[in-house]
Amino acid sequence: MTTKNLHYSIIITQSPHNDENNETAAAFAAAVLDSGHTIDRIFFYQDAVFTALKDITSPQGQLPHSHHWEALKSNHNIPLQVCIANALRRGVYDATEASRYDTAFNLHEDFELTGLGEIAEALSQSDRIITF
Amino acid sequence: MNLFILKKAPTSDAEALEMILACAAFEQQPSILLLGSGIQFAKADLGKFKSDGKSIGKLTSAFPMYDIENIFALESDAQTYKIDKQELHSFCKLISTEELKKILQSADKTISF
Repeated sequence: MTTKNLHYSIIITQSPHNDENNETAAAFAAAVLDSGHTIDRIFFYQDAVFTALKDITSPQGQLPHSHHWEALKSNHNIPLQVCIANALRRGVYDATEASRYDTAFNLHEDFELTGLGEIAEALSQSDRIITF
Repeated sequence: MNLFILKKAPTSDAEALEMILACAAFEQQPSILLLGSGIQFAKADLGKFKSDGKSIGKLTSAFPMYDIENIFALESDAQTYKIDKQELHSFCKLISTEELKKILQSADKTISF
Protein backbone atom coordinates (compact mmCIF):
# COMPACT_ATOMS: atom_id res chain seq x y z
CA MET A 1 0.00 0.00 0.00
CA THR A 2 1.52 3.33 -1.00
CA THR A 3 1.25 6.28 1.35
CA LYS A 4 0.23 9.56 -0.20
CA ASN A 5 2.92 12.21 -0.09
CA LEU A 6 1.51 14.95 2.11
CA HIS A 7 2.51 18.59 2.01
CA TYR A 8 3.16 20.24 5.35
CA SER A 9 3.54 23.84 6.41
CA ILE A 10 5.04 24.42 9.85
CA ILE A 11 4.45 27.60 11.84
CA ILE A 12 6.62 28.48 14.82
CA THR A 13 5.56 31.24 17.20
CA GLN A 14 7.81 30.91 20.22
CA SER A 15 11.19 32.50 20.84
CA PRO A 16 14.09 30.04 20.45
CA HIS A 17 15.44 31.31 23.76
CA ASN A 18 12.39 30.65 25.91
CA ASP A 19 11.62 26.99 25.42
CA GLU A 20 12.28 23.98 23.32
CA ASN A 21 9.63 24.58 20.64
CA ASN A 22 12.24 25.27 17.99
CA GLU A 23 13.99 21.99 18.73
CA THR A 24 10.72 20.09 18.73
CA ALA A 25 9.64 21.66 15.48
CA ALA A 26 12.97 20.84 13.85
CA ALA A 27 12.73 17.23 15.03
CA PHE A 28 9.18 17.05 13.68
CA ALA A 29 10.27 18.50 10.34
CA ALA A 30 13.04 15.91 10.05
CA ALA A 31 10.56 13.12 10.83
CA VAL A 32 8.14 14.42 8.20
CA LEU A 33 10.86 14.36 5.58
CA ASP A 34 12.10 10.92 6.67
CA SER A 35 8.56 9.64 6.16
CA GLY A 36 8.65 10.74 2.55
CA HIS A 37 6.43 13.79 2.86
CA THR A 38 7.11 17.32 1.68
CA ILE A 39 7.50 20.52 3.68
CA ASP A 40 6.24 23.53 1.78
CA ARG A 41 7.56 26.10 4.24
CA ILE A 42 8.67 26.85 7.76
CA PHE A 43 7.04 30.11 8.84
CA PHE A 44 8.48 32.04 11.79
CA TYR A 45 5.90 34.25 13.52
CA GLN A 46 5.83 36.42 16.64
CA ASP A 47 8.95 35.89 18.79
CA ALA A 48 10.09 32.99 16.62
CA VAL A 49 11.51 35.61 14.22
CA PHE A 50 14.51 35.82 16.59
CA THR A 51 15.56 32.43 15.22
CA ALA A 52 16.55 34.20 12.03
CA LEU A 53 19.15 36.53 13.54
CA LYS A 54 22.53 36.02 11.94
CA ASP A 55 24.96 37.18 14.60
CA ILE A 56 24.08 34.97 17.53
CA THR A 57 26.94 33.96 19.81
CA SER A 58 25.88 30.72 21.41
CA PRO A 59 27.31 29.49 24.71
CA GLN A 60 30.39 27.35 24.33
CA GLY A 61 29.53 23.89 23.09
CA GLN A 62 26.09 24.89 21.80
CA LEU A 63 25.04 25.50 18.24
CA PRO A 64 22.95 28.54 17.30
CA HIS A 65 19.20 27.96 17.11
CA SER A 66 19.28 28.56 13.38
CA HIS A 67 21.51 25.51 12.94
CA HIS A 68 18.62 23.05 12.57
CA TRP A 69 16.93 25.17 9.97
CA GLU A 70 20.12 25.87 8.00
CA ALA A 71 20.50 22.11 7.53
CA LEU A 72 16.91 21.77 6.28
CA LYS A 73 17.44 24.62 3.89
CA SER A 74 20.75 23.25 2.68
CA ASN A 75 19.65 19.63 2.27
CA HIS A 76 16.03 20.07 1.17
CA ASN A 77 15.73 23.67 -0.01
CA ILE A 78 12.78 24.31 2.31
CA PRO A 79 11.79 28.00 2.42
CA LEU A 80 12.51 29.53 5.80
CA GLN A 81 10.00 32.38 5.92
CA VAL A 82 9.95 35.12 8.53
CA CYS A 83 6.89 37.35 8.89
CA ILE A 84 8.10 40.76 7.77
CA ALA A 85 5.79 42.78 10.04
CA ASN A 86 6.71 40.78 13.13
CA ALA A 87 10.40 40.92 12.21
CA LEU A 88 10.50 44.68 11.80
CA ARG A 89 8.69 45.15 15.12
CA ARG A 90 11.45 43.16 16.77
CA GLY A 91 14.37 44.75 14.97
CA VAL A 92 15.09 41.96 12.51
CA TYR A 93 15.99 43.38 9.09
CA ASP A 94 17.03 42.03 5.75
CA ALA A 95 19.22 44.21 3.51
CA THR A 96 16.26 45.85 1.78
CA GLU A 97 14.43 46.79 4.96
CA ALA A 98 17.68 47.84 6.66
CA SER A 99 18.29 50.24 3.79
CA ARG A 100 14.71 51.51 3.97
CA TYR A 101 14.96 52.19 7.70
CA ASP A 102 18.63 53.21 7.66
CA THR A 103 19.81 50.54 10.02
CA ALA A 104 22.02 47.45 9.93
CA PHE A 105 20.72 44.23 8.45
CA ASN A 106 20.84 41.19 10.70
CA LEU A 107 18.76 38.52 8.97
CA HIS A 108 20.54 35.21 8.45
CA GLU A 109 21.10 34.57 4.75
CA ASP A 110 19.09 31.33 4.75
CA PHE A 111 15.91 33.10 5.89
CA GLU A 112 13.64 35.44 3.95
CA LEU A 113 11.16 38.10 5.02
CA THR A 114 7.69 37.39 3.65
CA GLY A 115 4.12 38.44 4.23
CA LEU A 116 1.07 36.71 5.65
CA GLY A 117 0.05 35.79 2.15
CA GLU A 118 2.26 32.75 2.70
CA ILE A 119 -0.08 31.56 5.45
CA ALA A 120 -3.02 32.00 3.08
CA GLU A 121 -1.05 29.95 0.56
CA ALA A 122 -0.43 27.30 3.22
CA LEU A 123 -4.15 27.12 4.03
CA SER A 124 -4.93 26.83 0.35
CA GLN A 125 -2.20 24.43 -0.78
CA SER A 126 -0.71 22.44 2.10
CA ASP A 127 -2.36 19.27 3.35
CA ARG A 128 -1.37 19.86 6.96
CA ILE A 129 -0.42 22.90 9.02
CA ILE A 130 1.36 22.29 12.32
CA THR A 131 1.89 25.08 14.82
CA PHE A 132 4.64 25.02 17.43
CA MET B 1 -12.94 24.69 7.39
CA ASN B 2 -9.78 26.61 8.27
CA LEU B 3 -9.89 26.93 12.04
CA PHE B 4 -7.90 29.32 14.18
CA ILE B 5 -7.82 28.40 17.86
CA LEU B 6 -7.04 31.10 20.42
CA LYS B 7 -6.34 29.63 23.84
CA LYS B 8 -4.78 32.53 25.70
CA ALA B 9 -6.25 35.74 27.02
CA PRO B 10 -5.66 38.81 24.83
CA THR B 11 -2.61 40.93 25.50
CA SER B 12 -1.11 43.97 23.81
CA ASP B 13 0.11 41.62 21.07
CA ALA B 14 -2.51 41.56 18.30
CA GLU B 15 -0.51 39.33 16.01
CA ALA B 16 -2.82 36.33 16.20
CA LEU B 17 -5.68 38.56 15.07
CA GLU B 18 -3.52 40.05 12.33
CA MET B 19 -2.93 36.59 10.89
CA ILE B 20 -6.64 35.78 10.99
CA LEU B 21 -7.61 39.03 9.29
CA ALA B 22 -4.90 38.61 6.66
CA CYS B 23 -6.14 35.11 5.85
CA ALA B 24 -9.68 36.46 5.59
CA ALA B 25 -8.45 39.16 3.23
CA PHE B 26 -6.93 36.40 1.09
CA GLU B 27 -10.36 34.70 1.06
CA GLN B 28 -9.34 31.70 3.16
CA GLN B 29 -12.57 32.00 5.19
CA PRO B 30 -11.13 31.48 8.66
CA SER B 31 -13.30 30.25 11.49
CA ILE B 32 -12.32 31.06 15.05
CA LEU B 33 -12.53 28.93 18.17
CA LEU B 34 -11.89 30.67 21.49
CA LEU B 35 -10.93 28.24 24.24
CA GLY B 36 -10.21 28.79 27.91
CA SER B 37 -9.16 32.34 28.63
CA GLY B 38 -9.21 32.95 24.88
CA ILE B 39 -12.94 33.59 25.25
CA GLN B 40 -12.01 37.08 26.35
CA PHE B 41 -11.21 37.97 22.74
CA ALA B 42 -14.96 37.93 22.19
CA LYS B 43 -15.65 40.64 24.74
CA ALA B 44 -17.07 43.64 22.95
CA ASP B 45 -15.53 46.24 25.26
CA LEU B 46 -11.85 45.33 24.93
CA GLY B 47 -9.69 48.38 24.44
CA LYS B 48 -5.97 48.95 24.06
CA PHE B 49 -3.53 47.21 26.35
CA LYS B 50 -0.98 49.95 25.96
CA SER B 51 -1.38 53.61 25.14
CA ASP B 52 0.04 53.36 21.62
CA GLY B 53 -1.22 49.89 20.87
CA LYS B 54 -4.07 48.55 18.79
CA SER B 55 -7.54 48.19 20.25
CA ILE B 56 -8.25 44.48 20.38
CA GLY B 57 -11.99 45.20 20.54
CA LYS B 58 -11.85 47.21 17.31
CA LEU B 59 -9.99 44.42 15.56
CA THR B 60 -12.45 41.76 16.65
CA SER B 61 -15.46 43.96 15.84
CA ALA B 62 -14.16 43.98 12.24
CA PHE B 63 -14.66 40.23 11.83
CA PRO B 64 -18.03 40.59 10.05
CA MET B 65 -16.52 43.11 7.63
CA TYR B 66 -13.98 40.45 6.67
CA ASP B 67 -16.78 37.89 6.24
CA ILE B 68 -15.55 35.97 9.28
CA GLU B 69 -18.85 34.46 10.32
CA ASN B 70 -17.96 31.52 12.53
CA ILE B 71 -16.65 32.62 15.92
CA PHE B 72 -17.19 30.07 18.65
CA ALA B 73 -16.62 30.01 22.39
CA LEU B 74 -17.59 27.43 24.99
CA GLU B 75 -20.59 27.96 27.26
CA SER B 76 -18.56 26.35 30.03
CA ASP B 77 -15.73 28.87 29.58
CA ALA B 78 -18.22 31.73 29.80
CA GLN B 79 -19.32 30.32 33.15
CA THR B 80 -15.75 29.72 34.33
CA TYR B 81 -14.67 33.26 33.51
CA LYS B 82 -18.00 34.73 34.65
CA ILE B 83 -18.70 36.34 31.31
CA ASP B 84 -22.29 37.10 30.47
CA LYS B 85 -23.39 36.55 26.89
CA GLN B 86 -24.35 40.22 26.75
CA GLU B 87 -20.68 41.15 27.18
CA LEU B 88 -19.68 39.29 24.05
CA HIS B 89 -19.84 40.40 20.44
CA SER B 90 -23.26 39.46 19.08
CA PHE B 91 -21.62 37.37 16.34
CA CYS B 92 -19.88 35.08 18.86
CA LYS B 93 -21.72 31.78 19.25
CA LEU B 94 -21.58 30.00 22.59
CA ILE B 95 -21.36 26.25 22.01
CA SER B 96 -21.57 23.07 24.03
CA THR B 97 -18.79 20.50 24.40
CA GLU B 98 -20.60 18.25 21.94
CA GLU B 99 -20.72 21.02 19.36
CA LEU B 100 -17.00 21.64 20.01
CA LYS B 101 -16.21 18.05 19.06
CA LYS B 102 -18.07 18.43 15.77
CA ILE B 103 -16.28 21.67 14.97
CA LEU B 104 -12.87 20.13 15.61
CA GLN B 105 -13.75 17.08 13.54
CA SER B 106 -14.86 19.21 10.63
CA ALA B 107 -11.74 21.38 10.54
CA ASP B 108 -9.47 20.75 7.56
CA LYS B 109 -6.57 22.74 8.98
CA THR B 110 -6.00 24.40 12.32
CA ILE B 111 -3.61 27.09 13.48
CA SER B 112 -3.31 27.53 17.25
CA PHE B 113 -2.18 30.45 19.35
